[in-house]
Amino acid sequence: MEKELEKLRETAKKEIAQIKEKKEDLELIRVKYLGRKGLVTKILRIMKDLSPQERKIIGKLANEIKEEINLLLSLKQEELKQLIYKKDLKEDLDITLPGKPLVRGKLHPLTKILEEIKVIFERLNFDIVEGPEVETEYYNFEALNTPEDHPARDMQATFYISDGIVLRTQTSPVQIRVMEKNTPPLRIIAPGRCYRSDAIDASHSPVFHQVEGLVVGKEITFRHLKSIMKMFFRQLFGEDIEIRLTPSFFPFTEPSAEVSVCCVLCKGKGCSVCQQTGWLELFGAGMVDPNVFKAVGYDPEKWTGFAFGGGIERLAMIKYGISDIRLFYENDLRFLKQF
Amino acid sequence: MKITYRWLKEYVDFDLSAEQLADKLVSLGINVESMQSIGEGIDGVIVGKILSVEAHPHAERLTVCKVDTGKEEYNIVCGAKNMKQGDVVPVALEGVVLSENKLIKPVNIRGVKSEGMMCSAKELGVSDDAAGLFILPEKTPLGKEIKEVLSLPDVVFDLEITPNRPDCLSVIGVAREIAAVLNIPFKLPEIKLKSTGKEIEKQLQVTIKDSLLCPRYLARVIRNVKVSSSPLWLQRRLEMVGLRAINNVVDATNYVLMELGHPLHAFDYDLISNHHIIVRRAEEKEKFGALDEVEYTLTKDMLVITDDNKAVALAGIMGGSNSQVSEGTCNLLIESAYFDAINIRRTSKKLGLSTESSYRFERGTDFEMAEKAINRVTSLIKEIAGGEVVEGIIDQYPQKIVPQQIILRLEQVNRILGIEISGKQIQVFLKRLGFECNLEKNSNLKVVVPAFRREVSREIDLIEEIARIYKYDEISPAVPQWKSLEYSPNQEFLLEREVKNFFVGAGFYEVINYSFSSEDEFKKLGVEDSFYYTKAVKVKNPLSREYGFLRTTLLGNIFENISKNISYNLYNLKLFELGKVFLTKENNLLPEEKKMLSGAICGMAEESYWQKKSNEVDFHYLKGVLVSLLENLEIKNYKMEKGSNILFHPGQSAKIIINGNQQIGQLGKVFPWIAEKYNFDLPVYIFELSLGALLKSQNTKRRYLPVSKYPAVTRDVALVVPKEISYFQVSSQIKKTGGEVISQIKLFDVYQGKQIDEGYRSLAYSIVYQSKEKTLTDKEVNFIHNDVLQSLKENFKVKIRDK
Ligand SMILES: [Zn+2]
Repeated sequence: MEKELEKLRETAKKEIAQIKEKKEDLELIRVKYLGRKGLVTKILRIMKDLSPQERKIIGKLANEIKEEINLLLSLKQEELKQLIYKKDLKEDLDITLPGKPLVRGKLHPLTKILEEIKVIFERLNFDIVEGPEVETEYYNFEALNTPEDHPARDMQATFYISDGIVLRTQTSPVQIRVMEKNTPPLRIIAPGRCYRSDAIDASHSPVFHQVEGLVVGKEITFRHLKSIMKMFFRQLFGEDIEIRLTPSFFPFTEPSAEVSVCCVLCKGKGCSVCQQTGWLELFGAGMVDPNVFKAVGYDPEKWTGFAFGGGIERLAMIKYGISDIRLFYENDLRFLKQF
Repeated sequence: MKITYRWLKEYVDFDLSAEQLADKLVSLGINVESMQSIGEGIDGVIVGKILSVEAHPHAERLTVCKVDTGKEEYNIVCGAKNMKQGDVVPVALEGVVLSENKLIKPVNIRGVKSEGMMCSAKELGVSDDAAGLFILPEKTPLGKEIKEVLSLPDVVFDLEITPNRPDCLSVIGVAREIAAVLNIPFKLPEIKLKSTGKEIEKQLQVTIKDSLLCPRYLARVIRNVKVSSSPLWLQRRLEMVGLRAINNVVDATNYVLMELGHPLHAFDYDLISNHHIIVRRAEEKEKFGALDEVEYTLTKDMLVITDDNKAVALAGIMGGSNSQVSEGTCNLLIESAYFDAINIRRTSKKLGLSTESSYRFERGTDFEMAEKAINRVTSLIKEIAGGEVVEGIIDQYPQKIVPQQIILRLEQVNRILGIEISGKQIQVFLKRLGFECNLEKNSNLKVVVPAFRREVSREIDLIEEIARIYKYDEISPAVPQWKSLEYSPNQEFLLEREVKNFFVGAGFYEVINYSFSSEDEFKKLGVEDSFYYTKAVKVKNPLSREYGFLRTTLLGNIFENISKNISYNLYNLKLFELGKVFLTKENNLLPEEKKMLSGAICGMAEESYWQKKSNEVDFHYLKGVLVSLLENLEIKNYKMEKGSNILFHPGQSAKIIINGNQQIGQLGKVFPWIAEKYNFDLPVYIFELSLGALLKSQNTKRRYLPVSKYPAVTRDVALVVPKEISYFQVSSQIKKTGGEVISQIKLFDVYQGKQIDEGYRSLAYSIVYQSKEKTLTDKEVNFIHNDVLQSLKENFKVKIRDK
C-alpha cells in the first residue's frame, strides 16, 4: 500500500511537470488524484479496512501526498499564468490600422443652432411655443399694426394661399396667438419656418427660419430688452462680443431697434461679411406697440413689453462660416457631415 | 435713396468724415447700405481745349490732338472718337497719377510724341461711361482743376429709409436729423422769388373735384423758357444720386424732389386745353398714355389730372406724354400738389407702376412743403432755363390741414425707456427735431407735430423720437429682476428632441427641405388620384412652378435628396426629416399642419472596413430601426401589417399599427416606377411616421421591474412551419402557451430548401424559461416546453425538426 502510494506520488509529480499550457489539464489531474473518485481518495477510502496502526501510517502518507499534489498544482498554475502573461505581452498589434467606423448621423446645422438658442432662452426662463405656418392676414399683419395699405407691407414679399390667407412672413403672429390665449406676465420664444417670395440667391431663400421673442410684464423697459439681447448674443457667440442697438422701424414695436453684434469675423475692423461696417445686423427688436396690446385686449397703461426676432439661417451662417443660404436646403451629405 | 456728402453739407455744416457721418446716420435709424467715394485720385487733372484733331500718320485708329490748357499747348495722341476741334475736355499731364496707380508720362506712340492723356468719365471714376472723352461745357475755364469743376471728391451714400420716415426721403430731411443730433443749425435752400400778383388767375384755372384725394393743389406758370441740357453741376448731381439728366426743366423738378422731398411736375402749358386743370377721379376704363410710353387702363378709384379734353397726368405717379416738356416747349405749367397717400399707393400697386414721385406720395408728403417746393423749382428753372414767371400762384387748398397735437406724459417716457429724463430735456430734444413743445404745469408736454412728420400721431411715437436723440447707446442695459414663471414641459418638443437624437444615434443625417411641392412632383410620384394631390394646398403666387403647392408628404423632397447625393457618388445614405405637411381641411379657414417624420435609406448598413464587409440595408434593417424607436418610446402594442400606400412596393412594405387598428406610419421599399423616375440605381427603403401619433401613444413614465434572481434555462428548437403561417403567429402562440415563465423568445435562423418539404420553412428559436419565484427544474421546463411544441403542432401543423 505504501509502495502504491509512493508510485502515485511519482506519477502525479511527473504528470504535473509535463503540463505545458492548458490550465484545464491542472483540473484533470486534480480530479484524477484528488477528486471524489480520485486515486488518492480511493486509497483513503479503503483505509477503514486497515489496522489502526497501518491506518495511521498510510493515512499520514496519503495526506502528505495529497498536500504535495495540491501544492504542486498551485505552483504549476502560477507558472502557467506567468507563461500566459508572457505570451500575451508578446502580442503586438499594428495600432495604426483603422478602427471600426461607428455609424452615427448628425443633426442639421439649423437644428443645432436652434437647440442652442432654445437652451439659452430656457435658461433665461422663457417658454417655447409654436404657431401655424399658414396664417390669416389678420395675425400676420393687421393685429401686428400693419394695415393693408401700409407701406410697411412692401418690406415683406408675401405668398398668398387665398384671399386673407398667407404663408406667414414672420414668426410674429405667434405673439398675437399667445397673448390672446394667456394673461401676462409672459416670456416666450417662438421658433419656426417663415416664407417670403423673394428671388432665391445667396442670401435669400423663400423658406427660412426665424425665432421670435416676447416679454410682457409690469415695469418692463427698453433697458431690459437691451440686457436680454446682450445676454443672448454673448451666450451664442462668446463672452466678449459687443452688441449695439440702433433705431429702426417695425410696425409692431415702438421704439424699434436693430440689434447688431460686432462682426465676429473681423472683430469690428470691417470685412466683406459685415460690408465694411464692423457690425452685423442680426435681430429686429423693440417695445411692444400699444396698438398690438389693444388688438389682444391688453391694457397698454398697465402692461409694457418687448419683442425681438431674427433669422436663424443668418445666425448659423455667421457661426459656422457659411456664405450661401441655399446650402442649408440642398442636403448634400458632404455639407451635413461637417456639423 | 442716394445722397451725397457735399450736397448734405450745403444745409448743415457738420464736422464729420464720411465714415463718421455714416455712423451717425445709423445711430439715428437711417441705415447706410453702401458708401462710394467718387473722384478720388484725379488730383492734377485739368481742363483743356482741343485746338486741332489730325489723323495719326501710322495708326488708323488713333488721332493726334493739340490741346490748350490756358498756359501751354500739348501734343496728345488719342484713341477716342467722340471729340472734335473746340471741345473742352479733362487732361492729365505728366506726373498725374490716375486711379489704379496709372502714372502719366510723355511717351512715343508709334512715332508720335504724346505728352498726356485726355480722359473719359470712367477714367476719372465719376461714372461708368467709357464710350468716349468726357466733353465739358464750352465755357469751362481752361487750366482749372477738374475736381473743382465737378465738385469732387464726394461720397455717395445709399440710404435705407424705413417706411415711417418719408421726411428723410430728401436731402434736407436727412440734414435736419443730423442737425438735431449734433445740435447745430440747419438751413433750407434760399428761394429767390418775388411773385405775388394775381396775373396767373387770368392765365390758368384749377378745379379740384375730389378734395379728399387731393387736399391741396398749387400751380405756377413760367413763360419763354429755353429748354436745353442742364448745367454740368446739376447733371452731375442727379447722376450721382442715380437719376438720369433729361433737360433743364425736368432736371430742375427732379433736383427739387431730391432736395426737398416733394414731387413736382412740369407740363407744357400750351398743350393744356383751355389752360384749365381739373383734378378728378378717372372714368372706368379710361385710357391714359404715360411718359413711359405705356397706355394704362384706369379705374374709377384712381385720381387723374386732366385738362378740358384729356387726362394729362396720373396724379402723383406719372405725367402724360400728351403734355410733356420737350425741346420745343416755350411755356411751362408747374404742379405741386398734396395727394392722399393710400389712394396713390393703391393706384401704383394696381397698375404695377412705381416712381420716385409715387414712392414719396404713398409714404406721406408734407402739405406745407408743397408750397416751398414750387417756389424753389420755379426760381431754379428761371435761373437755368430763363423765362419770366407769371405773377402769382394758384393755391387750391379747400380745407386747411390742422397740425396734430399730442399730450406727452413725462412718466410714460420713463416707464417705457427706463431712464430718468426731465421735461426740460425732452423739450430741447423735440424742438431740435422741429416739434413745438410746451411744458405744462402737471409735468405733461403739449407737443405740436410739424407737417413733415405726419406719421407721428401718438405719445409712443414721441417717446421713440426722444430715445433716438437721447441715443440708444446711452440707455444702459438693466438685468430684469423678474420672478420666475412656471411652465409645464412641452411634451411635443421633448419628443422631437428625443426622436431626432434617436435617428442621429442610428446613423441617420437630418435633412431640412422647403415646404413646397409641385404639380410635376405629384405626377412624378404618381399620386394625382390620391389625397396627396387632392388635399394639397395651392400657393396663389408661387415663385415658380416648382413651388406651386405646399407639400403633403416629406418623401418627395427626400427622394430628391437621395437622387442628388447618388449623383455625387454617395450611395450609402440614411436620411430623415421632421417637418410639417399641409392638408386642406373641410370647413376650415386654415389647412391642417401635420408634423411628419420621414426618411430613406440605401446602400451599405455600415461602413465596410478591413475586418468586416458590411451588408446592404433591406426591409428588415429599416424595420429594426423603427421598432427600436417604438420601443424606445415605450410603445408596446404595435404591430406591422402587410401593405401600404402607392409610394411603396406592395410586397415589400408594411403599415405600422397601434391599438389594434390605428395606422401611425408605414415603411418599405420605394415603388419601382418611382425609383426609376428618380434614377435610383440601388434599392431605396423609406418610412413615414406621424409625430402626433407617436406623441399620443408614447409612454414617458418609466417604472423599474425587478430582475429575476433565479437561473434561466434555454431550449433551442427548429420548427418546420407551413409557409402561410407568419413568424408573428408562431411567436404569439409560443408566448401565449408558455405564459410568464417564457422570459425571451429569439429567432436565430430562417431556412428553406434542402431537407425542408415544399411549402414549409424552418424557423429556429431559442426560448428562454425563467421564473421570478423559483429555480425551475429540468422536469418543469421540459413540461412547459413540450406544451408549447404541442400547441404549435395542433394549431399550425408545425413539425419539429430533429437536430
Ligand atoms: Zn466684418
